[in-house]
Amino acid sequence: MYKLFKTYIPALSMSFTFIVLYAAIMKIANGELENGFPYFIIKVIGYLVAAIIVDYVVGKINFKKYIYHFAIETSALYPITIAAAIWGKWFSISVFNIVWYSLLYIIVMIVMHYYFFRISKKQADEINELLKARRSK
Amino acid sequence: MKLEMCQKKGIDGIEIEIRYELMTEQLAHIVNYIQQSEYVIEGFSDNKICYIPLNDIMYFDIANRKTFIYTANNVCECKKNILAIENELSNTTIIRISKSTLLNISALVGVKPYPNHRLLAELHNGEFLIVSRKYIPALQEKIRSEYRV
Repeated sequence: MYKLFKTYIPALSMSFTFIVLYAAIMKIANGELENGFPYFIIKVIGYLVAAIIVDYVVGKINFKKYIYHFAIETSALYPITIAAAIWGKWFSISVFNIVWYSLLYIIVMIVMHYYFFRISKKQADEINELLKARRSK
Repeated sequence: MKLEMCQKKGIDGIEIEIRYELMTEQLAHIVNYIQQSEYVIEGFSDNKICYIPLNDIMYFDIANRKTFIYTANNVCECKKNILAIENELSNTTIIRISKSTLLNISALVGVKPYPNHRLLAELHNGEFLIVSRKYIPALQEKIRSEYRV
């Protein structure tokens, strides 16, 4: 299970990103722009870069609890996400769509933060086990 | 384990003799602790020199470009820089946990997850220190090697 989280999921995500990005660049280079796919990918990459910048800035703050970090980052990224989605025409503007994609956004943020929390927790548990063993000597 | 203590007048310092049949982990730990108590760090508090045994030190930290030594209930300034201390104490229980902090793992109670792939280290006196992502594997290895002594 640990290998799935630590190796396979990151490897899958990286491979997928590179393949899609490469496909988009090749389509732009070959002038195959009719279905708008390459521009969509470039916009997504731009959004992800903005998300990384937000993560970097929020990461500079020393929060007392993991949940505070999650709440601040989710709130900070939310307007950027919705603005990018509207500007990128990822969905048509309606109350239903905004509510639906906001829910999706929150679910994705929960899953991602939980994923990194689990990895960190595993690391902490290993160290605590070693400390316990050291103390019981 | 039998403990024998003998007071002798006129000897220079403390003499410790350990008689054993097999070197066990527990014994190695005791030896390590005794050896480490020989390390004394020079610090300054209110312009007075103080000598702090390494076993009493919880961590070293930089603030305003100065290095400070933190014990359970005292803070002293140290004239050495953090890199020099790190190199000097590399064979002890001292380990770097961030750009500006060296931790004595003897003072470590436990760690818990902290945002941005870092860990929060809890010390015996209830203080908390942040372990940077870069230094987590080294901390893990240090505790493991301590366990193996």
